[in-house]
Amino acid sequence: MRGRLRTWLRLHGHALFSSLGDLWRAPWMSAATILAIAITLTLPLGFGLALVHLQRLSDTFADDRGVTLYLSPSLTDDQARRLAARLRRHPAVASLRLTDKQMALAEFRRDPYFGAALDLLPDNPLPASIDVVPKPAWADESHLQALVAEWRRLPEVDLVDWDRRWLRRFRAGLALVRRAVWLLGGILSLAMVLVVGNTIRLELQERREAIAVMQLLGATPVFIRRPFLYAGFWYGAFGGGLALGFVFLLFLALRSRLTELAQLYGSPFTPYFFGFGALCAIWSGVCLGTVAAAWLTVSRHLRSRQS
Amino acid sequence: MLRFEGVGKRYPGSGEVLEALNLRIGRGDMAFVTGHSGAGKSTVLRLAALIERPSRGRIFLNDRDLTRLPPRSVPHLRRRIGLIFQDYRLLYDRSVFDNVALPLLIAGYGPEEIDRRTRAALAKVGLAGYESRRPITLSGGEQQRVGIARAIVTRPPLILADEPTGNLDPDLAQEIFTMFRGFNQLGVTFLIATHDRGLVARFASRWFHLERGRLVAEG
Repeated sequence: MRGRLRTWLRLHGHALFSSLGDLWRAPWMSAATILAIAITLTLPLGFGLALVHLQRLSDTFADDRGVTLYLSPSLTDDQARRLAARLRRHPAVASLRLTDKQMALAEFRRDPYFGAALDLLPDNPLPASIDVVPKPAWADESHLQALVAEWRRLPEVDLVDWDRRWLRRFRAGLALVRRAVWLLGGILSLAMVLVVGNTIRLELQERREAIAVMQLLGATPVFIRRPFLYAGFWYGAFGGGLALGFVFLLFLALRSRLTELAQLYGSPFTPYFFGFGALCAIWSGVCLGTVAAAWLTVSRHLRSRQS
Repeated sequence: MLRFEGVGKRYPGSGEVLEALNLRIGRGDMAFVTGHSGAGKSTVLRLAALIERPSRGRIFLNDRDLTRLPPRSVPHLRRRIGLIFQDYRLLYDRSVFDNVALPLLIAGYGPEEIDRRTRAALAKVGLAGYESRRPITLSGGEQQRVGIARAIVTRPPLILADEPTGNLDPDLAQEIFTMFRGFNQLGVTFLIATHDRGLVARFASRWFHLERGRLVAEG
């Protein structure tokens, strides 16, 4: 058993390094293939990273079902509390939060850009407000419209803000983009598989005679396939690594701009790169794909030659 | 050791290449298949190595029916047969050592064993010191000796040689066959296809003469 394991390890070790040697002996072809894989993968990976950022951005926004009622400025705190208590019993309301005039002022003062502007004003210009989160059953567009119309008619309410509709649209758009990125990723992964398949096919053509001789000397399909599988692995390992390198360079080039933009919007959001786990998963996925491509190509070749 | 029973082979689009061939080769024989080109000599060897399958009849190697051998077992069968070709079929992008070591690598031998056996096989064919040469830099006779070293390196009980000296001049042919006889005396069974009746007279212990796919004489 130990002997068989040793044989197995030796054969694999031999194939691993001899295939790397073969790659090295045809440097231009190998480089072209690796570069083709890297460029093919850079696009979907770059879009994927952008998508993750948009997703994060979207998550930093509050619940998109929320409705804010701005109360009329003449309302006393007491009246505001009574209204809040009344709304809390409303069948459509899941929860609500009353922000009275003092709290609104305190919140506003914390804003680094506009906080100081308040000092210029003689008294508190900010109205009290109630943030309402409707129950899920009431959260679709038509129910929300009815609720908003109902609350607009209340005499205590000055203004109803549910402009978070844009956020819903943003999220719907994001879902669409996500699907598009997955599709693009699928198509370009297929392109990668074809590139590897083509390269392996060329190598098979070149080593036709050698393969025929090995078969005559008793080589099994497994033996013949092995170096090509390792070649596939190396293509994936280098191509995938290079693609991640390219995406990282893009990220570095755009990071400072992104940070600046986020600061302008006062967003706490900071750009970040794929984490270690994601990097490992992407890289192994690419290697798996290229090994599979090599496997398919060689198996097809061997089947077509079997007499 | 090797037995053909009523073996026929036909290729689509051409007639019978072999017709109901019966032959029997014993352990330790130095057997020859002779005949003009197109008589079916090579086909006999290709069938014995399962490079092709017969259309009819059965082939036994050590009482094992090769015609029933599943394709996945063919590589293991080939490891126990040494093959020698008229055109040598060496790998020209590898050294002499790597060419001879290839069957051992395929069979999964360890590096020390491969090194030892490969050098021994090269020494037996008189090519010690040629390890790092490229086959293309060798003469025809030397290339065929590399081919022979590759065939004997796994010490197979049976060697099939198809016109092994077809591309070599008579002196070299004589030398190669003397080498074969040496191996034969150590117990290796040979089946050799050739059109050179002179060699048969000098070396054969058994011979089969084919004409247009039929066995017309044996001895």
